[in-house]
Amino acid sequence: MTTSPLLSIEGLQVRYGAIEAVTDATLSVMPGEFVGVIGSNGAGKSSTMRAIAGVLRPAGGKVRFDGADVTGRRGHAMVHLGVAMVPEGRMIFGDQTVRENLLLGAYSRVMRNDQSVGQDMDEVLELFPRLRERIGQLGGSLSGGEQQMLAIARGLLSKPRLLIVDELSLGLAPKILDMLFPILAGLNARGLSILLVEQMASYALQVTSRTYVMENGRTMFSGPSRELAHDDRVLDAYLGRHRSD
Amino acid sequence: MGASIQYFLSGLSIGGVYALLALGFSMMWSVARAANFNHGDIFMVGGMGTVVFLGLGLPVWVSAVLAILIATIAGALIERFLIRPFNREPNSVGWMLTTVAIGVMIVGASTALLGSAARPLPSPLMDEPLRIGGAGIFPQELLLPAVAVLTTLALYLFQSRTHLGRAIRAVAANRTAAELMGIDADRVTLYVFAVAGGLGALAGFLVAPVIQASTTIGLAFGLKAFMVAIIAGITNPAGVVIVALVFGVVERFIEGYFSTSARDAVGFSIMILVLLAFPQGIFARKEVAKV
Amino acid sequence: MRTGFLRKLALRGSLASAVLAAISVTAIPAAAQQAQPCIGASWELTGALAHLGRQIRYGVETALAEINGAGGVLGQQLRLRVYDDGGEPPRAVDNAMRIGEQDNCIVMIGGARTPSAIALRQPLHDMGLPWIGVVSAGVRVLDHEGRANKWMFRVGLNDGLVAPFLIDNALKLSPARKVAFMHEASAWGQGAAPFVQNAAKNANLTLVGTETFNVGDTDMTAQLIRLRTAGAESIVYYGLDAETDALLRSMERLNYRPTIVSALGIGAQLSSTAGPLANGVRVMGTFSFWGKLDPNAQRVLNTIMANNREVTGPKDLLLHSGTASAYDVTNIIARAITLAGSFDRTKLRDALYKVQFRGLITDYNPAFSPQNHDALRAEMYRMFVFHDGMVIPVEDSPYAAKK
Repeated sequence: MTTSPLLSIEGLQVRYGAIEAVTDATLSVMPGEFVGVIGSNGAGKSSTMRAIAGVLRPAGGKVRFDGADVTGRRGHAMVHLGVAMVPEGRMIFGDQTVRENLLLGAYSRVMRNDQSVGQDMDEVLELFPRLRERIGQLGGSLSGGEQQMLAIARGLLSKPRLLIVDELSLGLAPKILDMLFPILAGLNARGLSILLVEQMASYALQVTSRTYVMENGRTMFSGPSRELAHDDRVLDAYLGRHRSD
Repeated sequence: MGASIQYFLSGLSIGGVYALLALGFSMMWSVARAANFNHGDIFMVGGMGTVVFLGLGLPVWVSAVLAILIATIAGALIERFLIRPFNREPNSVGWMLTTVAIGVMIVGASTALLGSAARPLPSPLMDEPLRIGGAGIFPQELLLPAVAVLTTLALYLFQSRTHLGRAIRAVAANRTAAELMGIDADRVTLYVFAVAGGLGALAGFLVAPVIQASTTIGLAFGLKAFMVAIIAGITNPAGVVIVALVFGVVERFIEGYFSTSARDAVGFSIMILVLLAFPQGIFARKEVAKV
Repeated sequence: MRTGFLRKLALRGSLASAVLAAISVTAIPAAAQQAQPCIGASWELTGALAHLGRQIRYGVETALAEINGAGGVLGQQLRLRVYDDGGEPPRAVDNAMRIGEQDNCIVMIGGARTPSAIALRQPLHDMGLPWIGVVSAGVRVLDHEGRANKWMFRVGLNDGLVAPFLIDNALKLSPARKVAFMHEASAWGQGAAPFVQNAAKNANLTLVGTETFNVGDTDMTAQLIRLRTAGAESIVYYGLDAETDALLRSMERLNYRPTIVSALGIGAQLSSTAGPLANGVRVMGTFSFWGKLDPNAQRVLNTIMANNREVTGPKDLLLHSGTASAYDVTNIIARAITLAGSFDRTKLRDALYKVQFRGLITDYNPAFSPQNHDALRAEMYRMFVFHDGMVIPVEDSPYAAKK
């Protein structure tokens, strides 16, 4: 393993006023890797992702992307660097159509006059045929599952090198998750590095190759997902909880 | 009958001024959840600036363009230095203080420099009123609501047909999400404040031949326009323009059928009642979202 | 001593100025002090009427240049101390306290607004500081309702005399006696209303309509439609330049042209904003730099133009009566101090009852009497008319022959 990580964070801290949401997050994603972060609600997973994506300013620690220190870069700048995030709660622009939402996903490329946007648009619509059917509808009129598809498609259209997916499963039926997780796996198989934050550990451990466990604002331990799926600590704390859901 | 036509036309005219200013408030508020409270003084710059450049011997169109350019730059500078640093937290109010303060300074400095006397801005559209059934209106006055409506349409087309327009709507809807699309929300906000400043100055330029330019006219217009924007539902530009035009007409009818001294008292009372009935404003957007 | 100090404290708006006053009170012995050779003024240098402050200033500075050029007063140069009150009475009070105590000036010259002048009645009384007004025409500036007015004087119009004068002139313009009244809804306009109504009653006249408008209003069609219905032919009018411009444009819209007979609220600025629409508007006053001037007035005008680049002729002086009043007042003060023989406020006040001066507006002979602190009487009021960019006496105008 001589290749350097695509993304690495060290000792990352996030504060909301006096409240410390993340005290020490350290993780890395190698090129082409599919990495998961699991942990209970309030463990600081989403705050960590938001700090990486630049929509929160870290209070301490370092964020490196492709070797460069990008700590504190703002969200739009991270997109230009090649980091896209599918945010928790989807954040679809409800008063804009599906097509407009997708164009916004490609905003940085459109402004650069990137000619291949149209072709990429066709590709994501092939990946999510439901969106093609709804192309002229307002984002706000879509179902939860469709909105999540739109959020992923929108993220892909910035042509990211790293896709961060924050709580893919939130509020979605298992039937839809059974369709969405394989799509992420397929994207990874085509070479896209993915960092997935997921409360539903069982889903995450199935698709990712390596997983971090976060607790109380810290990354506690990590390991190959296949191994963690049988780790007692994980079984008790996360998978057990999931079974009782 | 002649009186009613008169009140209607005069009301549309002044409503057009409210509309252009309220539209600026709406644009600013939508992207920043804050507004330039000295927008009325930017409006003043449009009229006064034109008159001053005209006095230096420049042609009227050059003068107007320069004045509007100054207001545009002022709008951007105010956003960058007086609003952005004071609007970091969700419920910040520091920007209110800073923008009111700079407004007082702009008016004070311009009065000290230019005097408080009203200055004329000649316009060929003020030479002869159109007379309609006992009522009369100068063509320049009809220009105001026309420009307000056309501006709203242009804004609508811009926001729905262009990438930057969609980006503005995205910033207005969800700043974080917009940043995640690669949109520099701060820069978009700056652009919007600049355009709002330019629009305010355009209104000041267009109305100056009707009401004369002076350094102190901004406050009253700015205040009314802001209130109009609030009762209309500040994030809905079309609603804001409609309410502004209606409010201008209602004011004139109050003057006509009650008295001038009742105008502001009755007008503001109506606003308060409307706000009680529609706390988010008459044309407030319903948030279309499913979770 | 102590209670006097506390009372002065209570008068102040702000703690900061109270501290300043405390310093000045301790620094200067209060009794029998010699005042400084300065004239204090609290004028509106910023605010909606700032241009009127400037018109007063032209008159004062021109007079001071002449006086000091001829050696000053009692061998000293007479200085002018100006503070801005933005047209706000509380700031005017603050300024007056500063002038009276810190600067220790011998006298104050008033400004444009009546409310600011009325606010000074108590502090001037407490400080024993003479004050001579030039524009503020309110009756209550000099009439202190039951208490003797010892310190306030005026070389300007008096609203109590203005109203009958305007009614009289409005009646001359409407033989059918269709006279209406229109005024600004401000302290000035509201304050004048009872005098106009009273004057109408005394002239056995029933006003065909009374209308108001707000400062900053830009459209007067509603009021004019009502007055047109009532058949008004002339309108007794209290308003300022900007609103009068709005009135004239509304008259043009409606193609209805009653004659405006205005109090001294409008100035030459109206002809620059309203252009030919201003033609025929009557405005009362006491003096005009237009037309053929006597050598004295010509000299004053030349000095103003020489010392103020922005003034190229009578058209750039916006309130001739105010400038002339200010010029006359400054000269009256200088001569009264000479007459008093020292920079003593009480002696100056007493000298004002004896001082004589041939001024721009009239021959002050003497300027004031203990019974009458108004130097100008109704017979000195004159009617002017706007014509082609000028404001000229009606009798010298093309409107003279009209009825």
